[in-house]
Amino acid sequence: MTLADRLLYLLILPILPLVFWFFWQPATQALQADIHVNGQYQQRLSLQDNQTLRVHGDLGDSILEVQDGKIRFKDSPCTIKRCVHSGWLKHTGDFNACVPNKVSIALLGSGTQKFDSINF
Amino acid sequence: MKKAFLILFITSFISACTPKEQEYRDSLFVLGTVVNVTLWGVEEQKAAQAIKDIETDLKFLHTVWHPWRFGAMSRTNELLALNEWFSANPSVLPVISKSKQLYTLSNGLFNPAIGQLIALWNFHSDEILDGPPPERSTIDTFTKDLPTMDHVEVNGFRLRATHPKIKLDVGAIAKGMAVERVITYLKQIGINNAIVNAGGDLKAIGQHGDRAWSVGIRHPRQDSVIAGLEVHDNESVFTSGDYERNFEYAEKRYHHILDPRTGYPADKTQSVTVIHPDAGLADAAATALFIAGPEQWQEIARKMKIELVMLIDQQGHVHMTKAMAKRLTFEIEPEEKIIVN
Repeated sequence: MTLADRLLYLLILPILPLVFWFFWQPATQALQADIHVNGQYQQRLSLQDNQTLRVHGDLGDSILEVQDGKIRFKDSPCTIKRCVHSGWLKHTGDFNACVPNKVSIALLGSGTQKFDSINF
Repeated sequence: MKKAFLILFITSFISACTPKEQEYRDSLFVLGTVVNVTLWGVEEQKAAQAIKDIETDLKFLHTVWHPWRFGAMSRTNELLALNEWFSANPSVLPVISKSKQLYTLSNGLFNPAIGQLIALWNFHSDEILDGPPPERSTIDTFTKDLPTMDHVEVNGFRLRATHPKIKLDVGAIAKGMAVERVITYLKQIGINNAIVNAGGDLKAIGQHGDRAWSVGIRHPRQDSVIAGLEVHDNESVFTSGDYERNFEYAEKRYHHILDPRTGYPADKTQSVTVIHPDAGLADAAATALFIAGPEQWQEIARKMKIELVMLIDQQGHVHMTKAMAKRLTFEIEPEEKIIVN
């Protein structure tokens, strides 16, 4: 074994388990959220940047809040506020919408999401 | 040895790639909720056209079956109140016939004839729910002389009600029948791998590529999934939960799943999940079994021929059929699991 071989092993061996963990495990923690209004794409938010923003829909402004890797409807101009009561989203594939205001949030992450659809 | 490591290193990147481009997803604001459609292996133009057609169909069904907004069902309710024979709009006949059948099979726990009771509680409204609940005397008067699906007579296209308080509200079965119609349409146009999810209740056909569709069932009390499962071709997964529509008044929570026997929200269950090929039946059964509660659900499930059931009671204990237990992988282990034959 030459010095070059030893250096190659030293470089690759520690990386292998990390590569396996990053690409092969279901990445359930979401990293980003796509915002749509009436089916039209508006913007992509990073869940790593805490923020509050207004998204204008059919009835008025929905208030979205991002905090510590999660996102939620903080308020919305609908009457029943089911979107607000649904609480925080944080997993890849999570989805919530204010139906009357036609504003929706879809969470994305790296790799594959664990479930194709959520039943509730 | 060196070659082996290099190959392993490189292939660990390549083999992690999944062909996401074969998946087409869209969301529709229709049926008073969000309908998420996922198609697999469909060319984009065909998928986009299918979504447009689905939206048109669902908007039509929402109008014709809506219990109080102007449409075929609200007109049917006006005519039923006359207690005389009339010719019905054909669009309401399938849901009325199926409701009559499932009313009988559920021992009356699924009873869409209680539209007036639902209206008393204001659960039929699009407005904010904030109580107070209806007067007990008003509820008792209603339940003492309860309108049922047996009071709706069907003779071909003609209908008649034999109770003055009949008002049909098919909210507990409409989503299921609508999802079933969408699935039938997709198969007719040659799309055989899809999930149609209407406000959380879904039916799947085919597979996601070379694996089964995977579905997570939401925990009734936490913002996470309680259990996951692989959904087979032509299976529906429907859940009724006390968290879906509710209001609080004087520190008590009232939800929308009313027990026709008492006139009050059924209070022994947090959620029921049913798996069955027939989405309309699954929808109605989830409601009926929720109302039946932990003491009675097995009897009703047997009568409705439902083999895959999970009921979570008010203490968070999970009751399941053996067949359902085999299908589920719990993400959050419940304190207690009761598995029955």
